[in-house]
Amino acid sequence: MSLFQICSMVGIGGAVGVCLIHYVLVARRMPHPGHGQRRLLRYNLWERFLHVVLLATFLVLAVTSFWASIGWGGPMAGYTLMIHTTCGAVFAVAVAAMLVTWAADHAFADHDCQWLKACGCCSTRGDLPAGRFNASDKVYFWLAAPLVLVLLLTMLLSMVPVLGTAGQYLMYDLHRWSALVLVIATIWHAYQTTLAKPGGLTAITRGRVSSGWARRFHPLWGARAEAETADAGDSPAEETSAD
Amino acid sequence: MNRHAKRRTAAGLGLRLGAAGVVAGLVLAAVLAVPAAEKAEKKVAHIPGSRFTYIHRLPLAGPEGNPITLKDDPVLPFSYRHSCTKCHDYDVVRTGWHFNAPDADVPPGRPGQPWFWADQTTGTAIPLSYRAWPNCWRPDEVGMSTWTFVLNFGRHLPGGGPGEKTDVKDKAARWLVSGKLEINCGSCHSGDPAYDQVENFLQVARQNLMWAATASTSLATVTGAAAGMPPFYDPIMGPEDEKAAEKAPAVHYDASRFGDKGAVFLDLPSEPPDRRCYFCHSTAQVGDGSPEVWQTDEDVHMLSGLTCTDCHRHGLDHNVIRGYEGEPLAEGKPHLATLTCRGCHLGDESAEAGPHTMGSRLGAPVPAHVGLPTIHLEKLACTTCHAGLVPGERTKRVQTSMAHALEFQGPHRGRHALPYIVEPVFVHRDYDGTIGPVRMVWPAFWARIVPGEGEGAGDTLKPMGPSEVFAMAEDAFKANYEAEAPTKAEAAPKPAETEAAPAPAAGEAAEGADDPADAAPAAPEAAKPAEAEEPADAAKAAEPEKPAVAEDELEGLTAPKPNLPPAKVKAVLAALAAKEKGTAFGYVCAGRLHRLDESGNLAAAEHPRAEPVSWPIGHNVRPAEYALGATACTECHGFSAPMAVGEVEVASPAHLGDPATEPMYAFQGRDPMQLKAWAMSYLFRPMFKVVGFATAAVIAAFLLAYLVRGMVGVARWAARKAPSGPTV
Repeated sequence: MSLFQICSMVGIGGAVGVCLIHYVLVARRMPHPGHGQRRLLRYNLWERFLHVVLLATFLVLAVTSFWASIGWGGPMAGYTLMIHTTCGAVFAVAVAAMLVTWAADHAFADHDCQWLKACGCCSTRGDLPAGRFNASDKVYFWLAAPLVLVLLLTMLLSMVPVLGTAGQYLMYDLHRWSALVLVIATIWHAYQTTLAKPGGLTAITRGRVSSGWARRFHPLWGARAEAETADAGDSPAEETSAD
Repeated sequence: MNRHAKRRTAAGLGLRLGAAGVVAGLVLAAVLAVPAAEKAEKKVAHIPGSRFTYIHRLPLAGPEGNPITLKDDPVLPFSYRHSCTKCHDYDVVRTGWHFNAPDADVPPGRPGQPWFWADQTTGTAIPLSYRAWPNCWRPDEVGMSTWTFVLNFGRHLPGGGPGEKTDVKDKAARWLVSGKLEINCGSCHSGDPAYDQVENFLQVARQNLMWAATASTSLATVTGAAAGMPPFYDPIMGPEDEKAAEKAPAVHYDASRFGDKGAVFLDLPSEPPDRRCYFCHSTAQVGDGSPEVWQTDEDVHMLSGLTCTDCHRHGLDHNVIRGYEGEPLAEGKPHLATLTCRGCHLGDESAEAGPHTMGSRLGAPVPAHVGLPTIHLEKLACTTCHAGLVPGERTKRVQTSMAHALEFQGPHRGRHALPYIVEPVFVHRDYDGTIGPVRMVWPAFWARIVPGEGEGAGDTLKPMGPSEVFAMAEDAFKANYEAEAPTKAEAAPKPAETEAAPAPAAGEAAEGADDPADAAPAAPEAAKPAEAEEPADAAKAAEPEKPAVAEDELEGLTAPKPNLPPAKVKAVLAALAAKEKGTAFGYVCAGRLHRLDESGNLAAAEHPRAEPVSWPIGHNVRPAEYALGATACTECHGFSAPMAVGEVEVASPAHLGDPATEPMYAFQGRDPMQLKAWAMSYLFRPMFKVVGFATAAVIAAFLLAYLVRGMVGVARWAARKAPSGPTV
């Protein structure tokens, strides 16, 4: 068994394990955010579409690659490779779109330092300062973007007559190790935005959150969004159990 | 008395029983045994350590270990075994690959090229090997004794192996008259330009097995033929009278080559010269449009100044490194493990440290493989892209030394000579799990069919030799089938009566040598197969197609094209069944077993013993620029890439409605749909790259922009936090 196989199993298994522990020790103890008075638009249609594309392609990429890596320790071949490369191209374009769409919202601000200092991930308080995206989201965003760039370039450079065998091996290693880091980070990110943040999944699928959810997890953005909604003359929404 | 002495005693006893009686034989054997035993103890430990080549000026020893002198009567041939064993332990040497095939205890190893028992008239090409290689038959399974094997294939045997297996029961064997075909060190090691391996074959043809090694040197000439001697002739004792002496094998040494003390110089470098290897390991392309040998290039390694033995090395045990990855002999030995393509050029990662990890052994250029994803290095053998004939839409036919006796001229030669070897066929190789190129032959033979016992048990085939099947169905073979090809029945060449192959047939030449005195000068003629008495007519009769120009000039002098139309195959099968009632017969060719059904028609079915036999291609290695994929990925990944969808010719001496070709991917276990999908992806690949790089540029630009913005932010934050200076 290769080092990468071991690291993959330990890394992915460890990430899932940490999420479970976090859920038991932290997320379950977190008080429910409440429903609030209004329904706030968190993601528009384009953003939701983008999220779905990213999620779907990422899942296909992760499954095809790590099925091969962990399964038989070798590179992909045949249909698996064809599916992987095709989805890889879509994923890369989606990531570029993601950057265009969300880069501004993921710019670090002063309050992110407070969130990080208070270890927002482990806090059950839930009212730490956060804009549209909290510091954890931002760290993931700015980690994922360069990793995807590495993944993309390592693949592209291996397809053009530039690198020899040593370079090809370097590209291959960089590609798979970057992918492993991205997968681990994404597992954590997916958990943080869904199970650890009740109502987060609905936000992604339906695009709207309750004002209570916004005040709890993204108070700065929530206040701003509520004000904007009020300015627009929207009446308070009916409360739904989903949020 | 040691083991060797006992063996000699037994041998001497056997030889003398016929000539001088039991009592005299025992006495003589006992007398001879004592000095032989004393000699065996005078071995010199051969401890290697210098690259200096020992000058082999040594006294010669005869077949029983006695010194050779010119005053002997009779003068005996020398034996490498007894002459060399003082320093080189013969029992160790004989464990080498070239000699150990009949030893059942030796693992078969990676499949290699088998021998082929071939015959044009009966359309026979049976792959034979003493090693348990897939789809090969052991010679004894097809009724071929070691004696017959040696007579058939002695032309390309370096001695030893079956040549010393004299204990096999065979009434036709004449080991006591011919002597053993001991290892002929000169076959590989002789550095003497006058060394003649063809002469070695001519001696085998005359059943002068014991004399073959001596005759092939420039040290002596050999006259006479053991084939013409009676079965009780004792070659050690020599002929009884002058009349017998005229026919008996006799050695005539060049007296000037013997020094004062009876020592002679034998030019035997430890590294065999390439020309010796080529005698048995040459390959030539045949068929329409094939270049002649002089138009083609040697292996790129040879052109670069390497020799065969630079890579294919061995120690005293003569277990020659075959040079494939995972070779058991090289396991755990970096000095041997790196004598592979990859080891030499790229290095061996498994070597713990040192130069073997780095590649470039023997000055081999480290390949750049620019733009080649590493998966290729894992899924493919190096030879896939670099060795053998450049693949085309269809495989090409080649002939090899061992299968077609390329080193000899005669009616066995020509493009129609069986077996039909096709290359390159890219197959998934079980022994290393890679896709690699092989040479392939579809077996062709007549067989008795033994029904399988029990439900689901398949039929067992018992192949028949060409002469047996011809004898049983001679009329059918001679019958005229004008619908397929105009055939002169009388001209149909007869197979060898001793089951010899149509390649230089030692058996027939030997038995035809009535006058041993004339045997030597007549040997090249005698070496012709006995069946080709009327080769001109035979070739004309059996050749319905107009051959290539070069073949036109040789028409009638080359091997005739097999003439086996369906009607003839049916007739032969019917004749066989009539001769041996109650037995089912079949003809295997084109990967299927053909037999007569109840209505008398030919029915074909797949059978495991009809599967093709194949062996990997190692050479010739082409220059890197000629490698597959050197110009474009689509050379292998395109819609018409020969490596994936090329046609493998199902070459057969008979055309019985079987598929003429098989797709290459069928031998690789690959899905044709997947190959098409993969090929299609290459249509979009340029666009894919453009989009990919554009996307990467966008991502990089954003990252850079926000990195700058972040750094500015950090700088401002640092400025705010920095203690303010004193105000003025």
